[in-house]
Amino acid sequence: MSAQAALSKAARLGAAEELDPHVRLAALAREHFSFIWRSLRRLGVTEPAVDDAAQQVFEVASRRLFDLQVGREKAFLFKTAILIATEARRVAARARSEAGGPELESIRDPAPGPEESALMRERRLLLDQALAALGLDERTVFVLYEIEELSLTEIAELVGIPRGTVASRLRRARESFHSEVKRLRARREFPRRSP
Amino acid sequence: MTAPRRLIEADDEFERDLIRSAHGDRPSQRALERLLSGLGGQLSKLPSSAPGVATGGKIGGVVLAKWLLAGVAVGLATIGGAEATGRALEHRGRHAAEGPIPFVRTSPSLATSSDRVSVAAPHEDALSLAQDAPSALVPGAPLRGAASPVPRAAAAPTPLASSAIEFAPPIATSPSPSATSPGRPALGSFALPAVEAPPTTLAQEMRLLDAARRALASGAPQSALATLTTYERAFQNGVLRPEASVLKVRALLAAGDRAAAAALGQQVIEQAPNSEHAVAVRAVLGLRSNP
Repeated sequence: MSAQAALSKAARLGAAEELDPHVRLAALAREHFSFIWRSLRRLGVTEPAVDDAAQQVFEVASRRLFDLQVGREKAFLFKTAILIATEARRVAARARSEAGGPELESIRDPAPGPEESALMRERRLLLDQALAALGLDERTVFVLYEIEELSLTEIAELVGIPRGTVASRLRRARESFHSEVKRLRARREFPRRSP
Repeated sequence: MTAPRRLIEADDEFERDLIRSAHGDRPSQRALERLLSGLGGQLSKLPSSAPGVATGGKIGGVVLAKWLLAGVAVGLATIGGAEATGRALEHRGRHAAEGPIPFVRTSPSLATSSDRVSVAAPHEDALSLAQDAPSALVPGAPLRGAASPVPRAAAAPTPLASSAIEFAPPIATSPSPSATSPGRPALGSFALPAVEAPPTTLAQEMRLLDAARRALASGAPQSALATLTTYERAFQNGVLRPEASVLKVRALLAAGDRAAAAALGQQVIEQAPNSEHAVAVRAVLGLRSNP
């Protein structure tokens, strides 16, 4: 039985205890790692830090494995990711403040990989700058809807808020995103006026 | 309430491009492997008497770590064999040649010099976290370091605003990627407990697959095939069956039986077209990925 099949079996039985912990954890990691990693990135964790941050999320899950309700794992992981991302951003902000320099990512980002164009990388940097203008609640909903392409209902379940709240946060997030993109775009097209 | 049109479908091309740029941002295979490797170390710390290990307890921490290590090793071996078939896999193969992947903290931006970092719970800015919020972790309980009992009783919700999760210690601060702080176990170091757990079904599975992998790596595909046949007979519903199939595809290819390798590979792909195993098999057989 594959790890995923074992997980499905346990879900049918409705009992996490039916699973060997290693099978369950490995299945969780395989199934959700990518989503958690991407979420952490878009919630503001820098590229050099994101692998470690994702690792932390699953370490928390490993500690809580026996309390984790089957079927609620993704929500747990995502909420953990929010906390970890918040801390990571705080640490990064402190480091920036102490260094008095530019964003860590901008000076530590490795060169674009062979499969990634510089243009794509620049766009992603702009995206993250625009996202940084959003509050955490709005940013979370925006990322889940616009980037992860979850439905409003899925987001409501994942985050644990009513669907109407998701919709209103998304609306506010979009307004902020539009104005921030407009500002970034203007700055990009007219970088600095000559004196 | 109808859902609004997503920005990626909207008229603003610039915003569309920004959103689309996020889709190419994804973790590397190596990051997942490191995670699995690190989780093996975490699981080995779980107390065998923890609730819920009634069935899971059949497998001790030693075996858990080994199993995950074996999974990584098999994955790496699989990936390593596909080295010539694609650019992405060249990257993975390079790592496979480096041997087992240690888990090391690599992010300087999260590093601190202190032993513990308190993750302050977000307050007004936070999402309302319900009963399953991770903040229900016992405040102050070390996430890493000395093994602590799994706090089943900690399931009771803790108000987020008044709680803090302490991670101890969070991230290595040493510039050396291989260094670990004294006094805390390295997550991926697989410092196995002194007491060897009794062999389990899973441990036996792992041993057979490891033997097959070694045989294949040493240029003895027939021996690898014989071991894999033994595995298949012994573990018809084995947990590591998919890994065994990928190994067998490689062994068949190495033995010169491309037709059998292709037939088995096709089965693997059909069973789970989007799985890592399918990806590995496609690479080994030189097949194109799914569109």
